[in-house]
Amino acid sequence: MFENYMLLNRGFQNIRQNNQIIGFQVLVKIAYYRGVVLPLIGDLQIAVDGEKFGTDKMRITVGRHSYTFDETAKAEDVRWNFGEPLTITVLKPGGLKPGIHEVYFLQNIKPSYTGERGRISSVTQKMSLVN
Amino acid sequence: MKLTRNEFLKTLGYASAAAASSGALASSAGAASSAGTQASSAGRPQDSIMLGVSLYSYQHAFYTHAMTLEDSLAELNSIGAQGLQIIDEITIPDFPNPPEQWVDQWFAMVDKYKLTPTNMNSFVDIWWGWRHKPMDLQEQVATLTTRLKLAKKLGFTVVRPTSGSVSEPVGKIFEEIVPIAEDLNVRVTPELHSPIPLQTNAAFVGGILDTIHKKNTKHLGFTLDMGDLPLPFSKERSLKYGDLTPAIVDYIDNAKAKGVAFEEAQAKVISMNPKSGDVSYGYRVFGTTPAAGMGGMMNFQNDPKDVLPLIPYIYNIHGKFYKMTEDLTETSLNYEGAFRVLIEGGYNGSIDSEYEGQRSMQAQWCEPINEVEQVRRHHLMMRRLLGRI
Repeated sequence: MFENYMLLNRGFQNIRQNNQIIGFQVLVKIAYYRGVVLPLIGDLQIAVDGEKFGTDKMRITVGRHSYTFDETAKAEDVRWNFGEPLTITVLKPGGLKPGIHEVYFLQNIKPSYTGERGRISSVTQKMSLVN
Repeated sequence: MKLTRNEFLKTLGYASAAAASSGALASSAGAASSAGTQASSAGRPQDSIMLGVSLYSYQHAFYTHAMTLEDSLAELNSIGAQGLQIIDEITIPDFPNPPEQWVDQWFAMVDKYKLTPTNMNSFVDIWWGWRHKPMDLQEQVATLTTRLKLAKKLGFTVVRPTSGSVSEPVGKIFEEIVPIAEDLNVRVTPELHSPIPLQTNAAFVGGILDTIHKKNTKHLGFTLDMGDLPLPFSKERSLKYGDLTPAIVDYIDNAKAKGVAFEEAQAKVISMNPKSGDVSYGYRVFGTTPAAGMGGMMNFQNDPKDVLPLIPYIYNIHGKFYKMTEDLTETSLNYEGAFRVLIEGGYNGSIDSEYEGQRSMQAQWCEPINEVEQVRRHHLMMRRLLGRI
């Protein structure tokens, strides 16, 4: 399905807070054929140049609100809309160096009709981080 | 209900592609009494079948913002399609509570492009993704009720809800929803999707039929998906239409003959940039069943004749297709056989093209994705099968 389209090159950047780089962000689209409420996100994984980041290091931003992954499990009214990116901020003090990175992204969406396994989509892309 | 099925369908604007006015449908969405349409006078049974498109067909274009909603509806008008169906969670902004201004625009476009909303495809995710909690029955019914009200608000007369896995018993939700569906005058139609057995004594079909009869209702029925009526597998045909890659087929045949382990052969096939047909062929040759959720499984036991006794309960058809060739043939599904049965059985609802071939191309960059052209060819095929061209 949308594996080759779900990880966006735009918006890939370090995130600064009080002049400190606290991590980086990536914009991702859903790979399923419809939008879903956040509890249906079964898993998210990101790795940059082989360094893995689990959901405990992620903050999920939809609109102006950010959630920990655990908080998304109960966000029954918050939607990841079809074709619209949400922002994942990965907490990594110091962030990423400017340059080309190999970025891996996995999402598992779990509509109830597929059974607990869900629909797993993953991709690895070379992506330039400038700032 | 004292109306006959045909009379009832007329009130829903289903009767005739020529006579049905989308404006009349919009204004009669909630009032079964305002029969603003009349049956076709052309006489042939197949003339009362409506042809339409599910916007699922254009999902890639919508996802990449290559086509807007209005572009899609204008395209339906351009090919003379009348039925319009959607996946609610693709199309509707701020789902399930679209802004009133958007609802107004929706009806303005439906009117402008002379469309008839048919089936709103919806989901009741009864397990909340397994991280949160299961929905209890009351929540399931409340969720589906919200969807039915939304469908009615947008002029849809049928809702296809997907809830639990079809390998589970037919859910109580369908029994509970009947009086609500009757009250709203919106039909609830669980989908007969590949690989569900279509025989009346099979679990899913039989379970829904039992509920229909127990409740004596015309507001519970089926959406039939054409993907559940595959052509018998033919290696020759698949090679001819490019659904199989010759080099990969040769590798799989040789690997099986030499006793190569399935896992090793699978890894090799994946490294050869396979099409989805190649992967399915590998499963077939090695006699291995794909893991749940992998898709691509077809029920070769189903026969178009199985559909005949179900026709009185089929209120919409997904014209599922994967690939239309330049000679206007669908390469894997039994359209010829299915259309014969639908005409014979007097089906008079809408058949809405549902293109799904883009999904196997997206992962492989193997062919250009042209959803619009594929749907156009599908409509040419359907018109040919109905004797309209």
